[in-house]
Amino acid sequence: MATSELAAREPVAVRPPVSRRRLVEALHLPTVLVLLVGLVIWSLMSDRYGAYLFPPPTRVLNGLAGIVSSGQLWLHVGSSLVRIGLGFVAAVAVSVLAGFLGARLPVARTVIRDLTAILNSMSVFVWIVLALIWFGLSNTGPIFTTFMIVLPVMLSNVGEGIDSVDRKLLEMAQAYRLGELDRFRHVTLPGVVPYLVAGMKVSFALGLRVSVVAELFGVSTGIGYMMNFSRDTLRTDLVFAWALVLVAVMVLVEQAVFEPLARRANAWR
Amino acid sequence: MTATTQERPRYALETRGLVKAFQLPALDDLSLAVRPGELLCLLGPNGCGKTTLLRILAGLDAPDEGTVLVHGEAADLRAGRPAVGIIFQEPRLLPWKTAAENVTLCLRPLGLSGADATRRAAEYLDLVGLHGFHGYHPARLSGGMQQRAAIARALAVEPAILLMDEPFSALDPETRRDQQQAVVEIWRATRKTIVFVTHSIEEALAIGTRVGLLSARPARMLRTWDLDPSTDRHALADEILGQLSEQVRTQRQQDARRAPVGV
Repeated sequence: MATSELAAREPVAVRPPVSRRRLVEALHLPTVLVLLVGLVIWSLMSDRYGAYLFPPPTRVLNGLAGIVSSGQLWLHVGSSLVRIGLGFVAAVAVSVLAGFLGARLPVARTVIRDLTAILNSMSVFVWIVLALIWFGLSNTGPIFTTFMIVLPVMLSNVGEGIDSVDRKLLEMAQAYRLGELDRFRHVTLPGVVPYLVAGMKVSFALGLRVSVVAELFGVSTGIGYMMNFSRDTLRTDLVFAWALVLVAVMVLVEQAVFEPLARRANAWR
Repeated sequence: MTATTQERPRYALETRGLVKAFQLPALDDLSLAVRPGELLCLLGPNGCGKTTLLRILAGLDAPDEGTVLVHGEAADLRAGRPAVGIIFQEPRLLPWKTAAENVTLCLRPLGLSGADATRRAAEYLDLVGLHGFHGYHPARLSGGMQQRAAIARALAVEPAILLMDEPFSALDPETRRDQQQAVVEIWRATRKTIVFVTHSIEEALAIGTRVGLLSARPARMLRTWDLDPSTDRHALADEILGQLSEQVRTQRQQDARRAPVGV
């Protein structure tokens, strides 16, 4: 047993090196093969049914290149991401607040759970139509729709996280007189964070898909708007190209934002 | 009151007539007097109300009746700075914080933060033998080290007494012996008043300066035995075992009588 050595030395926290082989692992060879087969079938369909129904892969790639070089990509991806981002961040913030309330009051927790169930059973289309009525032709529509769709997913994840918080740790915190805010910040919230991040991952993907639909109505920018615009102008190749953009955005955001976030949230495990 | 008649009994902690009932009485007129600087080991049958006593002393529950005095003065244990530093059966460290952060967090309610808190945490972590492990997360510490980090946390708030609730019952015998040794050394180094709850007579006799026996539920203090180096531990162990067994039997009979009623 070492007797009191007053030297306050902080040993360096050891953290395993982040693996950079994830991308290689993600390119699973059989998957690549299946995709190639899909590409071949697509080309055959294109030959059989024509470029309007099935534009050939080369034309889609050309269209994609056009989208990128003309700068349309940044404008429309940017405006879609801003809308999703706003709706998403608002929903996350509300769910954290609801979590704080639910952690404090069992009554609130039940109310939140019931509301979540109701919200969960609402169709996207209800929110899109209501947004058109309430907000007309504006940015607010897709933002609102994203918010309403993301919210129940986040609420149920946060609720689950709060239910999982170790009561014994809360008791410890109480015995050491931690204030209510400190208890939430240092005991409840870190326990909920892995659930929060998991919920964010799922609900962002959901929000992206939903908000693209909402962009069909009422706005004149965004991935969804451009897909519809391409259809109107008989450019099916661009519909496919924008669909590819959508996939790329989803993958990139997941890899660049949520994966690192999840790693950080679970670093202590 | 226990059978302690010192010339000027100024107690580090004293309970007078504690009563607490949930559906059933858990504590009945429990009076406990802890002398400053002693290492008092409390024994009692399982389910006799020890946990209730500890929860009251830790400020988690309020007694129905009775008072608690800290250094001779009536204290409201549920408010103000903790008079009692509690060490639970499990370490109860926050897994997302390092050992040092676990300690400094509990210094915040004392108004201690930043460099002062870090310094104090480091001091007590070193004292419990965790030098070099301050930056480790609990998952990377052994069970015994985790429990010592919990002891450092309790010491760091510098409470009037340290309360340990069967802290080593989850450890293997080897580690358990090491930890007992560690507690004795910490006690010698700090001269803290320690109340150590255990259900092992062997453990109580190995580390205590005094051993107290609680009755079957509802808990009362039955009596205490002073230990000094000349005490015949074998004879005392037999004596305590006899009395403890009697209480365990009473407790069992109570439990059996209660069971058919469906409580």
